[in-house]
Amino acid sequence: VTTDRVLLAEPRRPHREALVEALSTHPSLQVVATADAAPTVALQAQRTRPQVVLLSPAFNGSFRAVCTSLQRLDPCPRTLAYDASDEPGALLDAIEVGVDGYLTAGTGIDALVQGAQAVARGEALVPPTMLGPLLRGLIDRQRRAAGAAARLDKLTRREREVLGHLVEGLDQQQIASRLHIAPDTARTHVQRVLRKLEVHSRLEAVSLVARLDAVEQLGRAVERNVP
Amino acid sequence: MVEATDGRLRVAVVSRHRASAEALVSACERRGLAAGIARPHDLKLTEPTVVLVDGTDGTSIAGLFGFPDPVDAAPVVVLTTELPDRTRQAGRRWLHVDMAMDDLVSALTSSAERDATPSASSAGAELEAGLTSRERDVLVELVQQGDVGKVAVRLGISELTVRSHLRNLFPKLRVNSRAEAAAWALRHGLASAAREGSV
Repeated sequence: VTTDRVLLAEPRRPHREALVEALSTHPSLQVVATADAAPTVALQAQRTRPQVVLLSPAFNGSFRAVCTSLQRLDPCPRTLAYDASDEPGALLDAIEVGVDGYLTAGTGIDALVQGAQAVARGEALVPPTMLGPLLRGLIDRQRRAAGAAARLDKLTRREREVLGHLVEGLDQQQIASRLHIAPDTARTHVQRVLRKLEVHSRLEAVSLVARLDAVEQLGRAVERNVP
Repeated sequence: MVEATDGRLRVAVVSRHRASAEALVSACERRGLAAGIARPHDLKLTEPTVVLVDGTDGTSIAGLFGFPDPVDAAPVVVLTTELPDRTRQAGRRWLHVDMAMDDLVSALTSSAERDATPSASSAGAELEAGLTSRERDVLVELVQQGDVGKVAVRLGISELTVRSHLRNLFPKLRVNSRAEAAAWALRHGLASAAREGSV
C-alpha cells in the first residue's frame, strides 16, 4: 500500500485542525504540512514536497495565485480543491488556472481521500454531473477569445496605439497630445476602436485586452512608433 | 439543557461544506462531545444542546440573521471570519475562525452551559446595569485584550470612541477604573463570553 504525501492549504483554523485529524486516520494519506495563507502554500510545498495540495474553498479567490506559484516548483505538486462551489463558472475558472481535481461541497471525507489518491496517480477529477457544463464552458470561452483576438487583428496600427494608451489609462486629451493629433481625431480613433472591438465602453475595451493578455502586443505596436 | 443520554453535550454542525463538516464533527467527538451534521430544517429533530453554524461556507452573514431557531434551549454559535457589529441584535454568538479546535470546543461547552443556568447568565446582569450592546462589546473586548488600543482595532473604531464608551459604562457599573470594570465583567460571567469574542 502506497502512502500519498499531501499538503493541506486551509486558512480556517478549526477546519484545518479537524481535517488534519480526520485525514490522519487514513493510512493511505500522510499530511506532511499545512498552510494557512495563499503565499505560504508554495513555500510549504517546496519544503515538504507533497504529491497533492488540498485547496480550501476559502482560497477560492486565490486559486490562480496559488496554482501559478505551485507550477513553478519542480517537482510540481498536483492540486485538489475540496468543498468547492457547484457553480459551473467556478469550476471553469479553477480548471483554467490549473486545478487538477475538483470536489464540490456535497462530497465527504472519504471521497476526499479517494480523490487525493486519484489526483496523486495523475488522474483529473471533475464531478461527472458538471462535466457537460464544463466542456461547453471551455469551448465557449475559447470561441469568444478567438473572436476577440480576430477583432483585435482588425485594428490599424494607429488604432492599436490608441488602444495601448487606453490600457495605460490615458484619457482622450492625453492621447491626443501624446500622438500629436487633435482631440477630435483622438476621439474618432477611440470610437473606431470601440466599434471594431464590438464593445460599448473604454473600460470594456481595456478589459478585453486584459483578458486576451494582449497588452504586450499593443505595447510593441506603440514602441515601434516612438521616434 | 438537552443532553445526550450518556450525558455528553450534543452539537449540531451546520455547514454546506461536507468534508469540513464531517471533520469538525469527528473533531468534536474526539474531544468528548456528541456531534452530528444537521441541515437548518431538520435541526429540531436532532435536538442539539448547541448549534455550530459554519459561517465560512459561503452562506452570507445576512442569511445567518434569518437562521431558523432550532430549539428554544439551544444557543446558535456562528463561526465567522469577521465579528459583525450586530452580534447581540441577531441573538447569535460569533466565534472567530482563527480559534483552535480545543478552544472552539470549550466555547461551545460554555455556551451551552451558560444557557442552561440562567441565574449565572451574563445577559441578566448586563441588562440590569443598562449597558448598550456596544458598551457590552467594548467591555468584553477590554477583558480579553486588556488594552484600549487593541480594543479599538478589534472593534474597528477609534480609541477615542472606546474611551467614550468606557466613560459611559463606568457609572452604570458603579466603577471608577478599567480594572474595576473588567473585574465587574468577570464577576458577572462576561469573562466566558469574552472567550467567544477572542481570536
